Order: sequence, then structure tokens, then C-alpha cells
Amino acid sequence: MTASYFDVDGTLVSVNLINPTFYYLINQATPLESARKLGRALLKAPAMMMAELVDRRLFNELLFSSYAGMSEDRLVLLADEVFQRRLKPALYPAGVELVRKARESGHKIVLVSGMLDFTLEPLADYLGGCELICNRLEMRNNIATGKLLHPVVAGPEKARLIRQHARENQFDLDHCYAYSDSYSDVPMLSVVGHPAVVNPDPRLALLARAYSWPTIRLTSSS
Amino acid sequence: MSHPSVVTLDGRSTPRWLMAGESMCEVPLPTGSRVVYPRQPSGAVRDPLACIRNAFDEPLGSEPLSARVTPGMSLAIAVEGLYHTSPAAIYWLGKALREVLNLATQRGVRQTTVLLATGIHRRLFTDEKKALLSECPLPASATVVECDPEGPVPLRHVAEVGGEPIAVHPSAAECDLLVTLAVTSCPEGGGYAPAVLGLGGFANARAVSVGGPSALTQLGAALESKIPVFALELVLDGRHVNPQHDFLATNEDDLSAAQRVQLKGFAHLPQRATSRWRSDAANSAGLLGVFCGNTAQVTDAATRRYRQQHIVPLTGQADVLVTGLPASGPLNSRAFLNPVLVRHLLQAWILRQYTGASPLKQGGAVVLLHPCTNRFDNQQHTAHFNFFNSVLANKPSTSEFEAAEASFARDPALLAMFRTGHSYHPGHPFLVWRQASAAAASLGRVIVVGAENESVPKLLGYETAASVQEALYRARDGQSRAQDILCLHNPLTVMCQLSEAPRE
Repeated sequence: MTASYFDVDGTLVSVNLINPTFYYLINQATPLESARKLGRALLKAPAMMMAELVDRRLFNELLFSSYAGMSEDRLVLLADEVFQRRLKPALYPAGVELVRKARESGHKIVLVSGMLDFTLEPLADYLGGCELICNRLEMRNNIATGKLLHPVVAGPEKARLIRQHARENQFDLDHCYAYSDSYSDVPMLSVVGHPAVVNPDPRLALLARAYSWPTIRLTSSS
Repeated sequence: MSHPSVVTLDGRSTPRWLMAGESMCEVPLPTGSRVVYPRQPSGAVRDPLACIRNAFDEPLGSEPLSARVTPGMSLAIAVEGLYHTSPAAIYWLGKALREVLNLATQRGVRQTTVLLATGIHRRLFTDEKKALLSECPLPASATVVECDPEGPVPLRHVAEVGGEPIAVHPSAAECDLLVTLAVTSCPEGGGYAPAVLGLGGFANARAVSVGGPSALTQLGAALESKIPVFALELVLDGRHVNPQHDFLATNEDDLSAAQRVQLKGFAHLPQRATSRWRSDAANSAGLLGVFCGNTAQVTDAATRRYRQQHIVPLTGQADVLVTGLPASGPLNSRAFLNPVLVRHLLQAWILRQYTGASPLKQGGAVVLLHPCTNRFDNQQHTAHFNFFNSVLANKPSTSEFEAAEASFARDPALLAMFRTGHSYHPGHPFLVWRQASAAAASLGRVIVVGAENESVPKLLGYETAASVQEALYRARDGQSRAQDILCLHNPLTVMCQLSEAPRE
């Protein structure tokens, strides 16, 4: 038995982490609440841009701090809408086919993403059932604190979590596959025997070319 | 008396200039060596369009196409061999396709499907598709489909041979008539390949790879018993040398002073510039003939015409064959000729380009001029890279080789590259390796001259030598008698035909 580890944003769907977050923010209980949360998130935008360049984990922490004060019930309720309206239309058809082929080959499908668990669960169901390695929000009395529970899934931490997952499931990493679009996921790609890049950013494309990693180009119509 | 295309070197002969990958090298050969040059292009048809229409009207072993295309029918047109053919071949295939589509429109065909039948080979680049289809008047009912044997829509099983199912694209399986368009640019091009290989998937290709040409005929005949087929084959003159660059295929002793300067300039030009010249040259191939109708009869006629152009008669087998390889072969259009394809081009193409007996004696040696660079195209040949570095490097047994083949053929990442990009099917390197191995059953040593490293030739099962002289000395293998040396000057455009008479 082996596994295929898929990054999600940019790899299986054409949207990034900000897109679903934005949907949650603008769909609060009242328009005033939505405007307030959106305003606070926008104030953090410059810091997030800086963090994206320096440390992906810091970016995730800043982004998800926008969820502070949202109720767990509402987030779970909105998660289905987020999937139907934001993620499902953004899925690459050939990416879904790639997941299907991997499953047909006997691979366990694992989504490894900085996205939040409740956002990913409908996607995992849609893809035919996948295990999740993803971020989780800290909740107090069913209200999000805006902090992420550790471990924060980003960059090199993804590699450690994949190793741990493979060890627990007795997968030989030499036979496992990993897919990502981002240079920040090189550690995750490097721990498996079969790394592949999907719509890679320029730095990752260069690396993939140098090491002859399979480079997959997906479009919304492919 | 020998054929004008065969030159026997004497004491006054100058060294020969042979292609060695992306460069050329000057090769001094011993007195008495025979050098085979390609025949001059002959007899290109004057009015190609009239020739195509005429072939439709007077097919071999079939009713005219106009009688077989009937109102309200479902027509599928499979265009094959596009991945390896020259721009000229795509141009002529486009012309033939246009004529079929015109006829379909005139006859009121209900549904026309143009199938780009690339099988397990790479998909066409946008400009190649444009070149093929730009002049084609697609009727409203027509659709153009790129065959995707690994896509979500499975291939349709239509027949069986020896218990093994033959599956092809559903549009071909369901049509009332399948028209296949192909180019005879190699000894085994065309024939049943469009239907069996172009419209099929890895299983068909593997069956042919294991069973050889006879398997292709068997599968094709079984397929044709279920699907009505009208075959069309275009025979090109296969000229790889533009008339302006005739000096590349001319006896070096007959070159004028100006041509000598041109030749030396060509040999010392940057690789990129010579590549451009070579691609320009490929555009100049003329149309020698058009054959339509029953597939078996069409293949016979097209092969005869192909041989008329390319056959060079020889007397007596050689002990040693000296040849270079061009930068571009049939499976690396727009990509580097990687080591796996070097072996395939030498063993499965060049050494098989003959009729009758092989020009090389049983166990004879080949002196190969090529750098054997360890370089693989990241877009087209990632599977070849993985095959070379993770399968061959481990020296697999037969069972390990087959297990690796099955594993590669299911590799999701490589399959995604094949489906969405321009990559060859992940099982492809195994098939070409097997074809090359089968073709070289009677081959002795292969000694590479000009190799960039030792490791690549070693993995290919080849030796290396520092010079042609050293290679010839080693090929002698301690024997004192004179070697009979045969040199193929432009190997892809020559087909040797050996007479039984021993060489005087």
C-alpha cells in the first residue's frame, strides 16, 4: 500500500487560501459584522504580503486570525457553500482525474493543505474520500479564537507530517507520490520517491526541470 | 558494377563527413570501405491534389470513396503518425484531410469526427494542429478529437486476437466508415498502424511491441473485420536534405570548392543554426504517391513506391557498419535525442532499413558516431528519464523489467503528463527498448565514438572508443583478414537491398 499526497490550493483547485476565507468573511450573520471582519482582514493585508515572502506559516497564522469570533456552527454551515461556490468550480478536471488514477492504482489519497479542516472536508468527500493533513482552528466555547492549533501545516512542517503519516500507516515513502504547485512545498516533495509538480511557480518549475520531476500542466478546461 | 549511390573509397578519397548528433565529424575510412549515399529524389507528383482525388476515385481493392461515403452516415477520420513526421508530412496530411472533409460535406454525412490518432505518442503542439487543420473546411457536424487512451472515457473493445482484446477510440468503434490517413516515411509506417496504434492505447502498442510486425497485421485484420476501413497512405520522398544543402548527401570527393566551404561552415556552425537548417530541409519533402482503398493492398503499393525511392542495392554483407545518428529521429521531434532513443534509432530503425538479408553479417560490429549525452527532454521524455535512471540502472531481470513496465504504465503522475501535456506514455520507453533488443538479436558489438561519457553507452550495452581507427581495430577482434566496412552516410534515408552474390 502506498499513498499520494496532494497539496490543494493551486494544485487541485485554481484558487488559493484567501478565496474561501474571503467567502467566510463576507457571509457573516449581519452585513455590519461582515464589513467589520473584512475591514480588519484588509488592515492585515500588508503584513500578510510580507509574511508570504518570508514564512508561509506566519502567513497562514495571520490569515486565519481573521476567523476570530466566528462560531463553529456557522463555519461548518458555510463550508458546504464555500465548496459548492468557490472550490468545486475551481477544481481542475484533469486534477480530479489524476486523483482517480492514483486511487485506481491502489494509492491512499491524502490532502495536505494549509486550508482549514471544515473547508476541506466537502472536497475530500467529493473526491471519493481522502485523509486530511490540514490546519485546524482553536475553538473556545464553539467560537474561533483566530489561532491555529499546532502543528501549523505549511512549508517544511508538511514534510514532517507526511513522514509521520507514512510511518503510522506503514507506507514506504520511496513508493509514495506528492504533488504541489509551490516552491514552499519542496520539502514535502523531497521526502517521497515520486514527486511531481502541478502548474509550478517559476522557481519550482526550474527545480523540476533540473531534477526531471514530472511537470503537469492543468487548465480549467483540461 | 555498383550502384551510383555506393562509393568505394580508394587511396585518393577524402575523409567522409557524418552527422553525430547535433554536430558533424570528419571520418577517415580505410581504402575499400563502401559508403552508401541516399538516392536522388525522383518522380514527385506534379499535381498532388489531383493525385489524391484520383486515388479516391480509383482505390485498390475497394469501391471509390465517394461511393462509400453516403448521406446520413457517421464518418471517422483517423490521422496518424503526426508526432514523428516532418512539417511537410503534416502539410500533405492536411491536404488529404481537406479532400476527405470536402467529400463528406458534399455527400451530406451526418457526423464527422476527425481523430488525431497519436496513440501512446505525444499529443500535437498547437502550431502542428493548426498546420494540419488550418486549410480544412470543417463542416458544422464535424468535431476534432485528440485521442486520449488514458482518459475518463474508456476505449471500446471491438475484437480479440488470441484472447487479448483490441480496443480503440469509441468514435472509431461506432462509426459507419473509418478513413485512415498516414504517411509512409519509414519501412513500417502506415499500414494498420493508424487503426491499431493511433486509435488504441498501451495494450495494443505493447502487443505489437512484443509480437512484432506480424502482430500488427493480425490485430489490424481483426479490427477491420469489425470496422469498415478505407485507408490512405501518402509516400514522401523522405528527403532530409534541402536542395540547397545537397552537399550533405554528396560524395565528398565530388564536392566543388564552394560546397566544401559550405560543408565545413555547416560542420562548425553553432548547433542551433544547423538545427534550423535541418528543420528547413525536412519541409522540402515531395509527394511521391498516394494510395487508397483496402489497407493490405494500400500498404503493399505504398511500400513498393517507398522502396523504389530509397533502396540502394549492395553486394555482400559487411563485417563492420559505420554510421552516425542525426539529431532528430522519429520519436524526438522538438526534443533532444535521449539515450533510450539513441539505441532505438540505431537498432530498431537504421539496422532494420533493408530488404532481404541484413547488410551486416551475423555478429557484425557497429561503429556509432554519437555523443550519447545523458540528457532527456523534460516535457516529452520524463518517463524515459525515469526508465533510464531507475530501471535500467538496476540491471533488471525479465520479470523485474515487466513488473517495472506495469508499474510505469499505471504511474498517475506520468499519465497526467501524457494526458495534459506533450509527454510520451509512461510505458513507451519499455516498448522502444524491447523493439530495439529484438532487432539486435544478431548484432555483435556496438562501439561508440565521440561519447561524452562512459556510463551512458555502458547502460545501453555499448563500448566506447576514442577514435574511429581504434573502434575499427577493436571491431577486428584479433582477426588478420581485411574487414569489409560499410558506411551509411545519411542512415535515415537509405534502405539497403542485398543481393546474394558475394562481393568481389
